[in-house]
Amino acid sequence: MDSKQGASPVTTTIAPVTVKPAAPLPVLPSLQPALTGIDPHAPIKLRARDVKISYGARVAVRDVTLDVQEHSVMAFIGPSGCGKSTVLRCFDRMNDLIPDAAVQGTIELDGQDMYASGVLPVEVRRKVGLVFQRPNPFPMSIYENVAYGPRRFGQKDRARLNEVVERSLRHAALWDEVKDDLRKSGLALSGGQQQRLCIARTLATDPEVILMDEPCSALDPIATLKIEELIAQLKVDYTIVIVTHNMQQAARVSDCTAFFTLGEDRAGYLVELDDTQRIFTNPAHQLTEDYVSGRFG
Amino acid sequence: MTSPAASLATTELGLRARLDLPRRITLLAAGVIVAIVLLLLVFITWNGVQLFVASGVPVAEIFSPTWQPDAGSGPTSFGLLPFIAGTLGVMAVAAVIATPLSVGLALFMAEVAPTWARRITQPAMEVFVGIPSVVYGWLGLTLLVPYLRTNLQGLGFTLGFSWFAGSLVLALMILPTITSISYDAFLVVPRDMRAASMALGTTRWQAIRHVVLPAAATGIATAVVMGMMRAAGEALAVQMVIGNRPVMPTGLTAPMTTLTSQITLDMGNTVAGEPWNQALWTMGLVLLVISFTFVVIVRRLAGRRIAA
Amino acid sequence: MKRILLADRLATATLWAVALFVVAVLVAIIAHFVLASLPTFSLAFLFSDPSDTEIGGVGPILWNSIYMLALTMLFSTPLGILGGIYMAEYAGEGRLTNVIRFSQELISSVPSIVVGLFGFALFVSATHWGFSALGGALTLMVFNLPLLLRLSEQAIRAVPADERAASLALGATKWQTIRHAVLPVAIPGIVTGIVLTAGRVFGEAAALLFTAGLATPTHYNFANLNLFDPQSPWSPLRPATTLSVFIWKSNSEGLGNYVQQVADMSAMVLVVMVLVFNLASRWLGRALQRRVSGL
Repeated sequence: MDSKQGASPVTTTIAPVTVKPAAPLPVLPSLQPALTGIDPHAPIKLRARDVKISYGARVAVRDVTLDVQEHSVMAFIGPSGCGKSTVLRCFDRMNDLIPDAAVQGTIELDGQDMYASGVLPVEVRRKVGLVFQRPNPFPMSIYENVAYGPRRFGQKDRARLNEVVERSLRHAALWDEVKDDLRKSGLALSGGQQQRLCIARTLATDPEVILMDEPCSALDPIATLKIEELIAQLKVDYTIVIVTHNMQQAARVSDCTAFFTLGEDRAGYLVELDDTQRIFTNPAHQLTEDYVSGRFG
Repeated sequence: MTSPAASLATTELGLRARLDLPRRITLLAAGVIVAIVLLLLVFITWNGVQLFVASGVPVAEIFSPTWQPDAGSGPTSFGLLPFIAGTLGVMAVAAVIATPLSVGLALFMAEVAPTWARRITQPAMEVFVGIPSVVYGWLGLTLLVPYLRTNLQGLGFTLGFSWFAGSLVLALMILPTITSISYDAFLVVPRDMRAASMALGTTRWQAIRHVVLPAAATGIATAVVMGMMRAAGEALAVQMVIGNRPVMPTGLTAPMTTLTSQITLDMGNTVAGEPWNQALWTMGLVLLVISFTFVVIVRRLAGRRIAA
Repeated sequence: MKRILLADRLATATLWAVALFVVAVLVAIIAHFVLASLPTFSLAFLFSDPSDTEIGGVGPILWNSIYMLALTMLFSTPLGILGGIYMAEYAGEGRLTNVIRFSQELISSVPSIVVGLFGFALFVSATHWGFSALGGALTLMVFNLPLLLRLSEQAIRAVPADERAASLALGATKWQTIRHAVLPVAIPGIVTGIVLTAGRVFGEAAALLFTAGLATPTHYNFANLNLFDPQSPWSPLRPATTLSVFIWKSNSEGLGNYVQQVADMSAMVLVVMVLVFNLASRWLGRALQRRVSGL
């Protein structure tokens, strides 16, 4: 992945998003990815085009087209079962681990197709980190948890490792709480601390994008608040996509929000993507309006 | 329960006793196990110490390497060291052969195998467990031993009957034991752990090697100890291929003997009450001590697993 | 990076190779016995008497195996199920429960040859029965009981708590609940357990050398129902070599005189029986499950 592919033909052809006329759905007239986010001129980090994910014969999600800008936070909201997590995991190629899961369409990271043949899932996952729904630290010490990634990538130098561990823990706002007992088991921490440890573990691998799959659903309100503060800080250095069930959370942490729902065919699809503020105050789509005002889901 | 008493509390003792009867009966059934263990301990220990108590053989003598139980051919010596060393030796080599295969197979079944392959390996393991030990012994006797003798004589297998033959047959027998217990240990490691490792950008093997294996280490250790326990106690299959020479083990290619083999062979040829026969009971007692030691180790490991 | 990926491929390939190897060994073992037996095998082998001058058969010996299996199960099944009920339904956390569990663990660890010594001391010498089918069956029970106890306990524990609560809520006593609500649901699991342990009993040999003995009456007359006649196939107090013991015995008799062919065929019979027990336990368990759930 070290060789820049430069201006690949793919990137040039899909610059302005056009809604496919063949799409059977009343799809998103408001979807204007280039307008979302904070800085309209920020480069696009993640780009999905007509993504369809199926498990065997069952289509889980279809017609997902969206752009995530660099250094922004995008939230995925929607009723359970609408495929938000499935889409999220596509950006990390984690669906590859499920037998008979198939991804169609294109997903690009920095303009490069991450599903192209020759691209290794391992490489993608190093650039894109994933934080799971339930905190899942490894059954080892706090230090080893954070050092795990760098060690696997061949970092053996003790001083360098110490430095990475400290930096990652600081970045994850956990350092002050654990700096005196790094040898303690990661499983001995509280739920909220465990989740921040998992974030630190991801940061230590030096990713560019961090995906979070309902990272606060197993946490109490105070721990949730800490994670939310953390997300605001991390945005400076990373691009973040977060799946959440909690609409207040989406409103608090994200720059733009994508609303998914379940179609008549039991497959999820992207209804609307816009500025978070607009999604919650003046959405273009009736389904979105119903969902965010609590009439649905 | 149609008593006219208004109180809900049953004071009638007879009814209470009747309601408690099933508990007592089932407890009795479960208690049979305890009775069997106690009886077994008493019988084996009592008979096992007769060599020292009734025949006056000093306890230290059993640690001698010389086995000469026949009073008719010179002064006797009841050294059990060759048998103890043989049992532990044949067990250790069997474990060395079986462990990598078993753990590898368990890993395959737990981490790598697609569903169709698991549908083959799972019942295959059950059949493997089910094959009686005499069948393995017979196989060793009619295939392995002649093969070693004719084709590998150059390596030193002059007779075929050997330490190695015994260990190889045992390895086959304990393979399913170690496999199924370590497989369970792998299944206990949360699936999330592998995903977490791979989401960081590691390969599957790195996730197995650095997360799954360490997390399952105690379980694997338990599996190996259980396998060794089975190997140490196995009698007939080993006896059929090991050569039964009551001397200290000299090498993998040479015949030797084990506690179980000697009991099997000599029990029918000795008379109750003579020191030779008593020594066989002492061997039984030693075997019992060895297997109880393994039980203690397994318990320790289980304790560590709960603590972790 | 290249090295890491290579290690991953290599490890995966190795694991596949190990699995393939082990399955191949198993298939080879079974194939060996089938091929070794086919040329001389006939159904008569299963029913006729052994012979020193020709191949003969294993009729009486096979009968002994089946007879002793039945005897063993007769003793251990009721005890195992009742004990399992106690462990699953009544036993709390306490010293008594711990003692029972520890005994279970100890007894499962005792080498079969030592169990054989124990059986010899108790059921051969102390009782003055000599080598007998009864003594052998009681010795086999020593193995069987802890296993049956555990499997029944597991099967009973697997019954959902709802079944119990529903029955208790109707005012049934604890025993009525166990008898009518829990046991019927647990039966498929228990039966599977019984058949599985039966397979083990069938193959056991070491514990029988000094208890059921190395000899057997032949020329069985199944019309002879006199339980005290040592020639009767139904008598529990006669020596009774089983098929597994018979195979072991072949090894000490030199390999001439059809001995090897007879032992090969006996081994095949044993292996086939084990396969049958294995399949039967799955099939029976599933069939009963359907029966119980009324589908």
